[in-house]
Amino acid sequence: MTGGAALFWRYFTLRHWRRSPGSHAVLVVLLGVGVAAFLGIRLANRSATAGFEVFTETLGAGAPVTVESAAGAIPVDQLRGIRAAFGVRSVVLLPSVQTSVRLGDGSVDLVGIDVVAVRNLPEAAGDDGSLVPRTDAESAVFQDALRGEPVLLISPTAARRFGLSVGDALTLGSDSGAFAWRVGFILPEALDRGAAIFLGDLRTVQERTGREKSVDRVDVFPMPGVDMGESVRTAVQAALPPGLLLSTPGERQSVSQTLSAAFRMNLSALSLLALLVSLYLILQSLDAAVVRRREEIAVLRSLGVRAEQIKAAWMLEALTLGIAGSAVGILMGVLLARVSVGAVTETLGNLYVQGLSRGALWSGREVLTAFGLGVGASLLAGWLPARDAAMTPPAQSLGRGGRSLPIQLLDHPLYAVLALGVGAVFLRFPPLVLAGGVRFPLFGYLGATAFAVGMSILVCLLPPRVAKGVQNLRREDAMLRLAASQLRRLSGRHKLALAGLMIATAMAGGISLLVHSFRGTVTQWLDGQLEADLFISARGFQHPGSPVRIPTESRDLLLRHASVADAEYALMQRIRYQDQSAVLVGLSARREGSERIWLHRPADGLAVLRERGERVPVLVSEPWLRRFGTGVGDVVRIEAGGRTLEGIIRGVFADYANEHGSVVADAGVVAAFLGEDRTATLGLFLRNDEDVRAVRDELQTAFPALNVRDQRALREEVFTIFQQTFSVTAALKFIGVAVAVAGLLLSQISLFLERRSELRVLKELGCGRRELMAAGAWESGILALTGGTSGLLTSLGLGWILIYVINRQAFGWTLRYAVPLGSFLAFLIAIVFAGALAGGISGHKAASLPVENEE
Amino acid sequence: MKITVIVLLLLCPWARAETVPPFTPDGFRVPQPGQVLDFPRNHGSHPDFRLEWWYVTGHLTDDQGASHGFQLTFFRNALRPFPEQQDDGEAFGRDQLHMAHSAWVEVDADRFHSEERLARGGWDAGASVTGLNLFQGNWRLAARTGDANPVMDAFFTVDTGPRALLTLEPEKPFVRFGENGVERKGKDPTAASLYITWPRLKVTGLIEIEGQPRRVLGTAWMDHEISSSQLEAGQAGWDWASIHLDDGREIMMYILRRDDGSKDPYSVLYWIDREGGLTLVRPADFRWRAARTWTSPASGGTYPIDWLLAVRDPESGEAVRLRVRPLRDAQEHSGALSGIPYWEGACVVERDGRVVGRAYVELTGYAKALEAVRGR
Repeated sequence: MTGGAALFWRYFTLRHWRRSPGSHAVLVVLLGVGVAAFLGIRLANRSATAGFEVFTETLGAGAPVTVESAAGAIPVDQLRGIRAAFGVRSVVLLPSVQTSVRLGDGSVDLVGIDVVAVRNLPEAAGDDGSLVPRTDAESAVFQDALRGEPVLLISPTAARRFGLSVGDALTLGSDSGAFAWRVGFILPEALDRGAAIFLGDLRTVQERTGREKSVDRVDVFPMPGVDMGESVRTAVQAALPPGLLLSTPGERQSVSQTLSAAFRMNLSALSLLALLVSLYLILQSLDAAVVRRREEIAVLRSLGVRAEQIKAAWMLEALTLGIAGSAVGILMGVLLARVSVGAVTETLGNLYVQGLSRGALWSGREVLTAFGLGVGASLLAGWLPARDAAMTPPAQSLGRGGRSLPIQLLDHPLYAVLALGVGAVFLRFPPLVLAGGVRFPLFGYLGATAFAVGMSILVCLLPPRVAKGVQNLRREDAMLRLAASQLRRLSGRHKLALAGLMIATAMAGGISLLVHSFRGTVTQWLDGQLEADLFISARGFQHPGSPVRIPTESRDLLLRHASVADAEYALMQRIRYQDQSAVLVGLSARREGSERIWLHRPADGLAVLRERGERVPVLVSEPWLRRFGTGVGDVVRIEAGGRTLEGIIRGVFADYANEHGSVVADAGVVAAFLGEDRTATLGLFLRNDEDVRAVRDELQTAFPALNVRDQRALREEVFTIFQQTFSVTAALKFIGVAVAVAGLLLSQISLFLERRSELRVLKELGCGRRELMAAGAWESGILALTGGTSGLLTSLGLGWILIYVINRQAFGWTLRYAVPLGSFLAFLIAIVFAGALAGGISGHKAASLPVENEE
Repeated sequence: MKITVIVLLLLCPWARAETVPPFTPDGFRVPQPGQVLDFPRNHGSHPDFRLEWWYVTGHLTDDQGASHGFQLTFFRNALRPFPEQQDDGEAFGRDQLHMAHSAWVEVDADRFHSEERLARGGWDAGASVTGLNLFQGNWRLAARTGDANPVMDAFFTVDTGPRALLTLEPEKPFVRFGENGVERKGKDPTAASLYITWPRLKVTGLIEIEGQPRRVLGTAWMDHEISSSQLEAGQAGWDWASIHLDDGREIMMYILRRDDGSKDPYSVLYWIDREGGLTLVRPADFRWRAARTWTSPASGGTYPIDWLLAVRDPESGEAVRLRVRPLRDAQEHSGALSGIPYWEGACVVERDGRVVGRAYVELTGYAKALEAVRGR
């Protein structure tokens, strides 16, 4: 910065900041809130999803390639087939099993690895911390583990979290019972990824979790110089036993990202919304500052300061604001992430992967992105007021006449028609299909944006009419007539405030409508799903990919229990179908699921699954239908473990449990296909005279390894998860509307400042503080009423787009459209009240303007 | 009468000396004098013994005229005595630990590669008990035919160096070293092995170096040694050599070194004639002396290399002096997985400055003690 520029900045900008540090600090903090919301949510989301990869990273540098089964686990008798598929290529193959076990009141991940094979990893000989024992005592631990002694190798995080040290004894519980283990070795800090990992020898873990015949995955580590490029991977994939799939970390990450894609997409979009509303606020604030400093600008212009220099000074101020706000935002964002990562992790865990570990919280890339967005938003928001300030002729500035922000977009209804037309076209486009099958409804979002923009232009036509209508109601109210007169000649500033409020209300209303519809639909769906009196699953089971299951003996005992009249149970296994993640369900439906929501109901309902024919009758969920494009009459072919399940689709049902898609067949068929008949979930229908709670307590005591929940408890649990999922949405909705109302306040203050000559006249006519407050309240209240009402009406359209376009494209779900009327009404009252209050405050401030400032 | 016989036996000193326990104190089987071995079954694994290895070394010439030396070794180490062994086809066994080593010296390019592998017995490593069939990862050594002297196939890779698919065809039947079928390694009767060798194998095959396939032809040596203890207390290691003479004969020699550096009396040298007949030479009747040393920068071990072997030729009766010169000094296995660095190198054999054969020499116990093969 040159000396002149520095001097200019010091007197033109810094002087004002020093004069009113509080208001400028508020501005910095407001921008900071926007940046923090964006960064905090992104960091928390990143940290939570990073947990998907912690396991792989813990085992060294991470396998460049992994072999997994398309459905369920890999039978150990396929391991030699995997070795053969790699042929002459020298690779270390590291099979492993991963399971959730109970430790105290919680559950932890127990990973079984081959303690001998792991020493062959190319990095094993390095000094950077590895699983290679370095002392005789450490060697003895590995020998003990190999001999079958219950020795654990634990991560430093596990040691810290559970207060464990070498030699400590602990008990881990699984389906097969509770077993004593001993901590033999704490992994080097260099291998710690912040996750509590418990490693045991593969065979011992298999024996103690009842999984002797299978492994979950085989990590592949090529020896130095061995090519594992795409063409080699393709060749190896072709040579693998049927049903096994080769994947790279990128592909695995995309799969894990697919699991949480919906959640991530929602959060990212909403966190960007937080930044957009702060952009709007900065625009309003800088615009207000331009209005306050008009005389100063006019003086400077009269003294020969060029328009470009004025503009540069404002942009510099916006830049300063952007840097300060972004810096504050980054600090707040990291704090926010620390607080919210737990909630996000828990939500992701509940929804997708239980036992999820948290990854590293800090990401330089995310921080830089947030900083860039904060500064960019500030500059973008500052550009319009800067242009306004620079283009103002000196004479007009001195004259303090009202000037309107030059926003041409809002002046022409034709633009509205154009935006609505473009939006309608966008909505006809299909979603983008990203890596891993993630369906991103880009055009749905663009269509929604165009719709909102179009409506925001149209809404600017309304205030004069609304004002006229309101004025007719109370003709004797002078202040109302005054306010109405302002609204009849709507300024650019009015329009901007109105459009901002309308869009914020529409978005908040649209999200409310979506959540309300979702809740209503899920409630109806749950009524069909939760028919049984008791629901039983293995502890630690929360999703189809979870390896824990109800042991077959336990299931049979439960089915024979004297209090049980009937039962239905499901086998579940995550599968790969057409290179995407999906779920295979084996259903033993003893009773007709009459309340199930069908998109296409087979003539005999669920009984169709018991039919026997050339092909297995299967049902698919709606997300399956939309993801794979197959429907009734189509053939589904699933391969795993050298076996093939060929089914014909006989019906389509609604399923809100997962967006990956489910295919359902008879439990016996699925058990034979998977070679595994352990049950994932079991629903018990008790005899009519049974006390559900008493039976629940009895079974819970008898089967401590299982979770026994009654219908009510499960329903509460489901809705807790539901609330958790949408809590972030609700918070952002609140921030959006709060900022819009704050924008209305700033706008109204600017308008009063611009009308100082009118104010003087009004004061001379006897208008006191109360009258000015009333005038402000009427003016802002009418704007809020117009913006709020039109925003909520627009939200009906946005909600429709969210439900029938965006939601369906992204998740494959059809929801029942339901308008939360009560919530909308309360929302509108709150907006009008807040708007009127903001106007009253601005009137109060106007009444306090010093006389000398009024010329 | 019976008492007389027993007293006579007790008085007979050799009868007492040759009492060999059937098991080591910790329960592993001990090679018994006169033990009859049937083949091809006994080319396979013997899990009742603690240690076993199949050792192939050889010299090759490729179709571009370049010379190569190679080593492929499969080791088996029982973790518990036979009666306690429980593995029954498990994918992840607990009874046997398998190790495999490969090495390759590109003589003309002056490059040496080596690789070690470690695995538990099971799905990815194993040795058949019914015949020669060894595997570890994608390495293989297996009999193609079911006779006592089968044609064998080997596939192995060597770190970033070559990968080789070789056929080994016995040019002589196998021989068994040792007196009465047992090769003694020390005064302790449990320090002994069953030692089976194909002294001359014709090698043909295909190798790939830096992506370029080459046909190879050459000669190899293969040992199959079974024991529960290779060394006894007081022994520090061994120098072992296999020599292919151009006249169709071979020499196998090992010097067991005592802790004080002296030659153990159980050291031996064998001449193998063109028909496979053995001539034993006692340690007093041959000399093995190094001309210089080489110190490994990796392990720090100092190895005596470039040897002079002085021994009487049983065919001509004259004393011969053979110089066994390494084709490259640095041919050490790092011992990263086993913890035992050792030198195993391709050599050329010269007599009076004239090349008369090829050899492989193994030097152990110079960089680290050999507790693992002591049987403890």
